[in-house]
Amino acid sequence: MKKVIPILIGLSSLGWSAAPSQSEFFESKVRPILFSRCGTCHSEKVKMKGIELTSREGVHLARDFIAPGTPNSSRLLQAVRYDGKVKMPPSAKLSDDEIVSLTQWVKEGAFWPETPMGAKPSAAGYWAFQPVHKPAAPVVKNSSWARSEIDRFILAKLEQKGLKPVQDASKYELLRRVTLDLTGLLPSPDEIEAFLADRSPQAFECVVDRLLGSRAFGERWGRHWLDVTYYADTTGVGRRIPLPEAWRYRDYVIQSFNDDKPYDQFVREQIAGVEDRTKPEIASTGFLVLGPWAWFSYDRKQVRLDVADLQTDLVGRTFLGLTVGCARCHDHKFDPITNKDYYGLAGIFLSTKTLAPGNSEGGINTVLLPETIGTVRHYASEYETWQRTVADVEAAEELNQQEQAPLKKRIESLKLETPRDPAAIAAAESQLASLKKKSGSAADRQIVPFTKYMKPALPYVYAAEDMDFPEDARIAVRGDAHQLGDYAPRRFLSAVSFEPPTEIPPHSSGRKELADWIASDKNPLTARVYVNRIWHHLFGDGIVATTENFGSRGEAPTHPELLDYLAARLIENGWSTKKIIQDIVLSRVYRLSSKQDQKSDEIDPDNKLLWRANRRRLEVEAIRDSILQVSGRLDRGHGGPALPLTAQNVHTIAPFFLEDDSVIEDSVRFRRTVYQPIMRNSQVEDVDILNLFDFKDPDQVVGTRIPTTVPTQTLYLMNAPFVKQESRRLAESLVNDKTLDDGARVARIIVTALNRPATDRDVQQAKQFLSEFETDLRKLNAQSSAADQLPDPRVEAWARYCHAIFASSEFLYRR
Amino acid sequence: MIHPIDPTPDSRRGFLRTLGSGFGSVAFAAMAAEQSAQAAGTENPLAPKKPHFPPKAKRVILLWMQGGPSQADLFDFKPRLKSEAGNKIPFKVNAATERFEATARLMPPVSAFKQVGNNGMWMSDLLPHLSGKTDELCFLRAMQTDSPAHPGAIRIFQTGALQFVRPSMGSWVVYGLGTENQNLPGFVVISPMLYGDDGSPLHYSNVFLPAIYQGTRLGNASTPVKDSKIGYLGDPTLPRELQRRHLDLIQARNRLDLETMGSDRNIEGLIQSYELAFRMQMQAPEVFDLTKESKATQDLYGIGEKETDNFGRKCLLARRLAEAGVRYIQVTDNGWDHHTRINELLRKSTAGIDKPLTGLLSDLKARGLLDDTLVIWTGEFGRTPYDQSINPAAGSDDRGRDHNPYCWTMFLAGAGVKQGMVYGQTDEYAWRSVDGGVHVHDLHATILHLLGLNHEKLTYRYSGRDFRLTDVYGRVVNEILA
Repeated sequence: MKKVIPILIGLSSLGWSAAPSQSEFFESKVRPILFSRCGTCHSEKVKMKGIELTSREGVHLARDFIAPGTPNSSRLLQAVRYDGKVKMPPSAKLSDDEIVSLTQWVKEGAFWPETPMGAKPSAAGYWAFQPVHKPAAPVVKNSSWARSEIDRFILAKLEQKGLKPVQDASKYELLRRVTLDLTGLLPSPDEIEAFLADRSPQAFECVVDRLLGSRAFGERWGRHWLDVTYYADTTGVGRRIPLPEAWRYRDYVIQSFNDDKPYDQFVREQIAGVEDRTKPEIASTGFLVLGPWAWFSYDRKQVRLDVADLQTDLVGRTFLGLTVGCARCHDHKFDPITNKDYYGLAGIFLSTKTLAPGNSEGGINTVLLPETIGTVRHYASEYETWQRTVADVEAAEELNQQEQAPLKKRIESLKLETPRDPAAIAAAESQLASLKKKSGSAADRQIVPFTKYMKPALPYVYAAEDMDFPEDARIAVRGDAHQLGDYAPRRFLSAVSFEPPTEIPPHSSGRKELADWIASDKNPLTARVYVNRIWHHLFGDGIVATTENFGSRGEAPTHPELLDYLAARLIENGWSTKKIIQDIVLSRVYRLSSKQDQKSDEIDPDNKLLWRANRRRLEVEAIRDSILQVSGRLDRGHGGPALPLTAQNVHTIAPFFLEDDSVIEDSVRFRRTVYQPIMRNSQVEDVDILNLFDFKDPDQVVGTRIPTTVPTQTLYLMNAPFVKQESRRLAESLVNDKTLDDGARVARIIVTALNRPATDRDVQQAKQFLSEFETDLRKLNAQSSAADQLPDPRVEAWARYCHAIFASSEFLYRR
Repeated sequence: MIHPIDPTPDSRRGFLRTLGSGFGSVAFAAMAAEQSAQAAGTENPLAPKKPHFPPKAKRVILLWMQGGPSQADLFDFKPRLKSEAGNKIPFKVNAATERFEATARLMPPVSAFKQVGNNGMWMSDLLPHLSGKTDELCFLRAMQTDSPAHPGAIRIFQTGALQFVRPSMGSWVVYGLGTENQNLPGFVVISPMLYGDDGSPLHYSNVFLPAIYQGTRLGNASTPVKDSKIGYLGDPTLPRELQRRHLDLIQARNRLDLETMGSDRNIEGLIQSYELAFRMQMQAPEVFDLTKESKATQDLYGIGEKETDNFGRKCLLARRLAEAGVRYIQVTDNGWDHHTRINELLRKSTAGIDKPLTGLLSDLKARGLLDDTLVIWTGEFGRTPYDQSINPAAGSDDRGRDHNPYCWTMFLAGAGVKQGMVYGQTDEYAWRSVDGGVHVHDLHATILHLLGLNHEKLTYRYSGRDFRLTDVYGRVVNEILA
């Protein structure tokens, strides 16, 4: 196995000195134990009993307890051996090997590496910077269990720890899981039936092929990709400035996944763009230019630098899994990324047009889409219509003003009269208000400026272009654009060098060269970071848990060889995303049940070694889409513009921004969630569910959404109109279907929502609830006045039953 | 609809039984919630946490005057503005980074000043009620920020960062301290501006802190607080007993799931979360119900008077939330951006808040709450000493003042701050600070300090880096600590 080797530690006269083997021993054997087995309670944050074992300082302070050098008097060792009253860790004793390692560590003086001031982190030996080699799958004892090489990597680790994989998932569970994982939707009753009926050994492969070939695949995995971009349909920090054409980038991403575009090409397109401007791929650099830009700020220099900073960090985290942004103000403290490296990259983005020139009116750089005769004609006719509309609303406005004038005068004179006639004033004022409303000139919602703003334009996209005069960046002291130091030549990360660096030609930004460098087969990070993201989406945890941080402060891989195997397979298969997903889901480990097992849980409570499948909450998109799918309302239509630019939604002070009570148009509202408008900071009321269920913040790179369970979510599940309406819709369709009896109705709900046959217990529980609830509702109606009657108690009871299914864990968590 | 939700808790279930109405029940339910969380042995991220050192303040009420109250018209008396009124500005502005008018003329205060309190500080007669309280207040007269425009200045005040997206101060506080009442959110924002020019949920967002620390919004700036509700808190179409029946079915299904699949922390968490939500659903309407207050108390806040009703309700709500154990409460009053017609509009703004604000301070004091509550009154920046009318011939009634990030006046009251203090000095025009300048970062450090938190140690690791509210800045302003 490849050792996890720490970054080179600068050793000086300041502290403990240690032979490299000692630090290697510490990193490979001791640190993992201290962090994973002791760290839950004895971290810097929790520090139970005042003891901290996850830092050099902590271990130093706990030296009495650890007794470095004298293992016989070490209370730490006593506790882990379960010798005395104190038994640690309380959940499960360490393995013998682990105890031996800890003993050796204490005996040798409880070494902890230090990074003294001035020492430079180095790439030498750090695993993530080593070339990817395809390791052979290990030999396992239970070779009949393994279906694929992936399984052998997993099983070997399980066997090492004395763990056994649980049983396989049932066919129902498996179909629900794979359909949700690959498409974000539920299998239909027909698909369930077909899978059950297909007893051939290829049955599951056929399902996987079908799912990978469906449009929904790109919608699901495209959204995963959008999570590691700054995509949203607005820009502005704290403001909602609409980007009506941002959807083109979103649709480009979805299409790329459906086309199974080789990942290296996908990377190149998003950084460097495409030469052929006649293709929809022209939207690809939306990756770089869509972001939370504060472009209306007065300090243009700082804005440009901040934009380049966010782009540098974006590219670092998304493609390389490195927190490059940390090196903006100083050399990276933990990874071998220098301040000069940082500005070498930032220079590439400073030489790229992201924002249009100018101040508040500028916005994001745009490129016209190729014009056909058709588009020009269409544009011309739209333009004419627009001119007429502007003339019309202006005329109407003028007329309206003329009507308002005498009224205003009248109000003024009425107010001067003594005694005042309040009724007459009120009447005149309300007349004036309705006139104003009619013209749309009330408040800020002004129809004239809005109509003018909506001037038709030839179709365009937001895209990056090289600056006319690309140039190197100067190091900004502490990131301040007004305190500039040395020039930093445009270049890539010096620590990640796998071939002679390409010179960046002076006349170009360097994006093309950067793209080639990242998308190279030899780049040690790109493929690893990408397959890790895929693994994360299929299993719930990445092999490297910190999907955006492969640096030394990230988590070490749980299965480093498997990671390399997958990375090598990806490249071998021409960077095909679909092939690697297929490889993984056809493994046996993917098909395990998520059932709990007491014994294994004690050894590996976080299931890091995958002795079972992880039970996971559906992402918010899947919750919303599945509810709409079950209620029958989901519009499987298509992408296209999401933003409702209507006079009601748009605030007409330049730069235009969206109102807080913006509404989504009906034609868009029931589309899949990925096609809904995405705002920065907070989503519009119609898709409020996104605000509550851990949707990613569009301003951050979020490869790992951390699911929370908080009361605002359960309040939503109990009370939100969305859940109520869809439940009611489902209930109505069931009750109205006279071919069904109540048992069959329950069976229908269970199979469409939970994708399994109803049990007797389900049916019995449902019938009891329905009859009691209906009776109570009828009683209530009998006590209430005619006006307060609840509509149809029978439908209402069914609606509440459907609602309970949507709100229950079995629906919300995939097994 | 039939049977609107009954504010008194349901007696059908033993664990929901309370000690009658009023705050006894809130406190009791809070205890019950805490106990049940403890019994279940789960770590509750909102449970009260020990601060770094003994705190002076246990909670914060931020009275947020959005738009930028004019210091030269309210607290920072400058005779030269009167004697030199109409003169060209005697100082230079940097046209590249500042947006100040070339035609600007010095402008006198819109109303008279007089000396008040034991320290004889000068105060505008636009705030007659507050003028009687100055001996209990701590004024900071040389506040500073980094942006002359609303979005940036609000952002840096609320999140500590100008250009980047960072967690809000309230989220940091609840992350650091948890909250005292587990049946209510720990961080409540009353009537914020939502979007538009200056509003953003970013101002009370958790960003990368766990979602449980986000601010819970009550209403928004354009709706009277009287008509505002917290989202999804209850279902008005069903009587509570039937809501409970419905929840029982959900919970039965969840338990069935657990039984089938074996123990699972997430599902157990979901079950608990449903119970907590249901308790919140009962407790919160009670806390938000101002009719429980006596007529005398309502009068104290100016409730029922046209000018002060809305802000009075917000302030009384803040007191009720503070009393119920909410950690961080923000009350927004917008409309302080007086670019034009300041003479008329500033009068309106001050009339709206003077009585309620003073009532809140008196009420907190009378109830002993001021001892451990920090009250903060401020906007995002101050205003210029000159009027900004493009047309010098504009009538004096049309005049107004532009933004001034270089100095403004705010005040603190309550736990741990000196009383009757005026800290910091500005130049002769209230244009720049000359002494005792306090940057927003310093104020943040000081607020955290009063709460028992070391601003350099309140960190959160995200994406490989430790983040702080104060980033790499911040100095505790020891000079104002009691």
